[in-house]
Amino acid sequence: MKLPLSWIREFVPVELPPARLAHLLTMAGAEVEDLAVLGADWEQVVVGRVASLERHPSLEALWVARIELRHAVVAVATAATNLRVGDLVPLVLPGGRVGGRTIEARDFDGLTSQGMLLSADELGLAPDRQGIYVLDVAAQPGQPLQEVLGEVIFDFKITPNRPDEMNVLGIAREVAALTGQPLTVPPLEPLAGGSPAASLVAVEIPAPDLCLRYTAAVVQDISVGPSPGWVQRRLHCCGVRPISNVVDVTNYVMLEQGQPLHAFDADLLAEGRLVIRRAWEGERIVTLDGQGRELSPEMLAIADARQAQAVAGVMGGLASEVSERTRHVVIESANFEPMSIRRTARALRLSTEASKRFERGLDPGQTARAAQRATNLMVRLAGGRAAAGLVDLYPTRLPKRRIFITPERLSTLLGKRYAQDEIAQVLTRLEFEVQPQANGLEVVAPGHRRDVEGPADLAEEVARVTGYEAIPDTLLSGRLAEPRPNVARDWERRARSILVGCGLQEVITYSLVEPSTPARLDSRAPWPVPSTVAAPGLASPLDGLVRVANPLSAEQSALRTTLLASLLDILRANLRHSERVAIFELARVYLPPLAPLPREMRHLGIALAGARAPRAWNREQGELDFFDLKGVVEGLLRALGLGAARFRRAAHVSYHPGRVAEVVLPVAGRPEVVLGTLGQVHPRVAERFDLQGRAVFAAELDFEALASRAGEVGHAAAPPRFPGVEVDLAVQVQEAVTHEEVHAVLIAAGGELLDRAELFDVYRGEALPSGTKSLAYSLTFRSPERTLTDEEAVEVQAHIERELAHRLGATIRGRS
Amino acid sequence: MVDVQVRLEALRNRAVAELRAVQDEADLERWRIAYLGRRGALAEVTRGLASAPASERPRLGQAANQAKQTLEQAFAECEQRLKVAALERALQAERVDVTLPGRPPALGRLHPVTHVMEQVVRLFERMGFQVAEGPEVETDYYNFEALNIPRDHPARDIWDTIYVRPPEILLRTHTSPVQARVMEQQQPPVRVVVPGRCYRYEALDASHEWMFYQVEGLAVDEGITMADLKGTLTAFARQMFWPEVRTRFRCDYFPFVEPGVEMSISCHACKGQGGPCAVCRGSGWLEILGAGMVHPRVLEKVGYDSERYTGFAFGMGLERIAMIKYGIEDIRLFYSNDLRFLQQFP
Repeated sequence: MKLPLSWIREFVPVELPPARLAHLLTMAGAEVEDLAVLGADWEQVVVGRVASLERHPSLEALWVARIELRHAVVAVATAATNLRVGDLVPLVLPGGRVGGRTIEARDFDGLTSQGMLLSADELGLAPDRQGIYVLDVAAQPGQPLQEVLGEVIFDFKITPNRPDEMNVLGIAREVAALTGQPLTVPPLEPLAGGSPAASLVAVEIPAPDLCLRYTAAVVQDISVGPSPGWVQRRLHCCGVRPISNVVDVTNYVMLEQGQPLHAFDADLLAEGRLVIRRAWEGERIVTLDGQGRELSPEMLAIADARQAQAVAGVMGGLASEVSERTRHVVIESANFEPMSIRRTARALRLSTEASKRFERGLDPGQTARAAQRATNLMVRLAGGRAAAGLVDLYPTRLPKRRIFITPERLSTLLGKRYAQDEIAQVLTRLEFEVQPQANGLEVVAPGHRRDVEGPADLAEEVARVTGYEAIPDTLLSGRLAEPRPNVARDWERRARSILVGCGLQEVITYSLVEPSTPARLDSRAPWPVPSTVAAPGLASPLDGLVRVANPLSAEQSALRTTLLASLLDILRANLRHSERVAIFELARVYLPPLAPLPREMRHLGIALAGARAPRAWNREQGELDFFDLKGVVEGLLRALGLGAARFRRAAHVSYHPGRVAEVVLPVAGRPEVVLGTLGQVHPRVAERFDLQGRAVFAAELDFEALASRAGEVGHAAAPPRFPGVEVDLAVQVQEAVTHEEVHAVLIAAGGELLDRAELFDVYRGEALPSGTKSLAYSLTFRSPERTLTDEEAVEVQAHIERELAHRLGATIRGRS
Repeated sequence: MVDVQVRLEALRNRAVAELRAVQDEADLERWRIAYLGRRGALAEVTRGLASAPASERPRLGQAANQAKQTLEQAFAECEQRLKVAALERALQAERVDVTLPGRPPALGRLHPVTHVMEQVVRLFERMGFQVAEGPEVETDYYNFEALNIPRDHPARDIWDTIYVRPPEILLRTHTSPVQARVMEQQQPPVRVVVPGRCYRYEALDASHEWMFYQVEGLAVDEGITMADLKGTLTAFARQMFWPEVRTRFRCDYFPFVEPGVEMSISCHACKGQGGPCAVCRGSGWLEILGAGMVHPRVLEKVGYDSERYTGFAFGMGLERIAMIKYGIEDIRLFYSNDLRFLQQFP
């Protein structure tokens, strides 16, 4: 909300520098977002008096004006036709600047124009581009224009609880309270002399629940025309377009007093009646913006004897709009129920300066004053006669809310002791009624402060006016609640640090994805999704995602159920410039159905592609593969105390069928728990993410399952005390036999004396029969109680070898 | 028999002199064979002792032994000298260009928002706050109603909302709904911080994101005041930013607090001097969070006695904190996840 300082000063004689005043208001809650100076960009722009006017000797469209300055007269060419001798006009001299451009002396067929006369639009004073701006205020020729028409304009950000500040008077009231300067409201002229207003317009309120008060004034025999310059300038400073004197008066008074007004053409109101009623079902109205609108009984209409003439508190109707032919006007100054106005404005998608004020709750007490002010001003600007008195229906008076407050109560809230006198003084300055009682104050808020409901509100008034810096800074003391475990979060921290330690970069990606994401990740599904399925707004049977109702874009319109697609997008973007991309994200997925909320589950996603290690001048470059990914997952599981998890071949639509595993955790006596999936992304899926030809590896783990089963080591073992016997064993098996099967036999057959069995080589090649492979293990035999003899080790090894042969048909290489 | 002794003398002198010229192991070996070998010069002289008179033999034998010892010692010294020299040469040959780059390990890092979130949470944990969490897909009740923002209240305009199933189910617009969720579950004293994702219906530009992280804080008990709010948040700012940071509180409005404040910190770029500072746009201050005393109605809605208990709440955007801390000018950098951006953080 923009307001010129000069207007505020009409009500409070504040002399503080503008920046200081802006700071004061901002600290107290009326934030000044911007402080602009109208005319700050005028250089060498002065006031001149038109001394003479004559036609240009050769150029027909031009006039030559002799402009009197302080000590000189200059000749200026102009095409404008609105000038008269004696007018005070703005002139930019050669070398001066206005609106960001520099003006130089210019030759017009032998006549050198010493600068340029300016329009209101060129000066930024008003939108008027027609003709030269003629000053309507006293000024000396040669005086810098800034001294005469410059303005300091405050741009306020008013919080929704303070509609009383959405106007000049409200800000002035605040300034008065903050600076101690007196607030002066100029007296109004009485409405007397004409016919009684009540004889000219009849008002009835069949819907008093939605209309607290309706005040109407009448002005007869006006002449509609443009407003004078000072009104137009003020409106323009506030960002309001001047329209006509009648309409401008309603806007001017709204900006000044905060009371939205509407002017009806009195002759166009059927039977001269105004009925404040609920709209009929399906009742139609064309509003001032030219839009046809359908109303409903939840909405309040201002109707005449026949039809709705305005949407109450939102916008007037075109049918009774004030025009050049208007002779008599009815000025409406009313108070409507805030929530109803808000609902109506939202239903009609029509938020106006009026509705924004009404929906925040205005003072019903101010309508008569505003009506009278508007009437006075209209008579001044548009001529005519004011009808005597007002029509004023006030069916619903808001109850006075009495708030009892003590200095103790204030200090429990604010942590600072305020004297009762000081509290009373602050509140009185803010126009609260304050009654001292035996042990406190009884306070009634002024009508314009409908936001004040209780002691906490009064505490804020005291704190903001006396300044928050006066309140001391103390640290919390007192009781603490017992710490509550937050296991998932602790494991989240741990998991992040492990993954970072594995050389993975954490990413954070959007929770909303394209609804077609499940199909995109499904190597068997057609892609792109046939348009019949992807019709916007229809829930696809393919996806099963929770959609948002008002998405910002189609790409971000469904809640994700997997992190995979987001990670692949990030992978692709980074592979354009990075040779190694290894990322992870720990975030929620959102699983349907809405019951009423979706199930939010933490997932851990990992994606890898490119070089195994950062490129170095002294290292062989290798490419990341399945086992790099698996190594990371295994490392993570071990660090979370989940080393018992197993990997097994699995089927998953997003992954390479031969390179995908499921991670499962055996649970004693119960079904195993699936922790997640890892593998190489299916080439067809990779292609859909523009990752064609790249080996991309990804994992997605259910972090809730991980965290709920993760655990610390129960009992820590000391390092072995006795030396072990190390033996290498190369086991030749059929290709189909897995490492896990061999390893299981090793462990079972090795019994207690087998301390470790670690795979160190996998060999396939000419030295072996086709269809077989050799798995080489390093075995460590050890007894926890004594030094093992070679004979004992050999005995165990022989048993292991027999078991391998017996159970897996294995042969031991190097044995004949 | 003077002859033998003279010969020993000459032999010794010659041998020692020759040894001085020896430069490598091969020369040394040749020298050893020539003088100390079984058929070497010393052995030859010693063999000549057999023909010496018996009375002379002990003396001459002793002289020969002395000569031998001298030569062996000289040999050992020379051998040592060569070893040292050889090692010296080898070390010289193994010299590397220490300015060549090291073999880089793959380094991972936390996302800067996580990093900042952990810092914020840790600071409040040290002041006795516990971490609480809540759903991102929320009900209208917790996101608005419980926070004293009834339907059709103009304050709702503060939060442009993304709805899942309007008007009841939405994406939370702040982490504040967890306030009511926590208080419904526990009696005072309450001290919690709530980190998490939030969403707003907001077009993306350099300073606006539709998805962002907040940390909410709530402390409720008997005797908690605005002074505690100021002290706690100022202590936080000093730890989070820099020790000399100053805080400023101005009146602001959030329906779930009363009084409501906005906290700014002194600008780090101009040290709060304002002037032509691009970071704070000349104000000398940077807004970082909204806060206030919990509104009595919010306490009453969860069944707390608002006459007995008071409390404060605050909420801050983590991207904003990170932007100030690391001088980031475009919020879009966070979730576009360009590794070249992400990998600069500690």
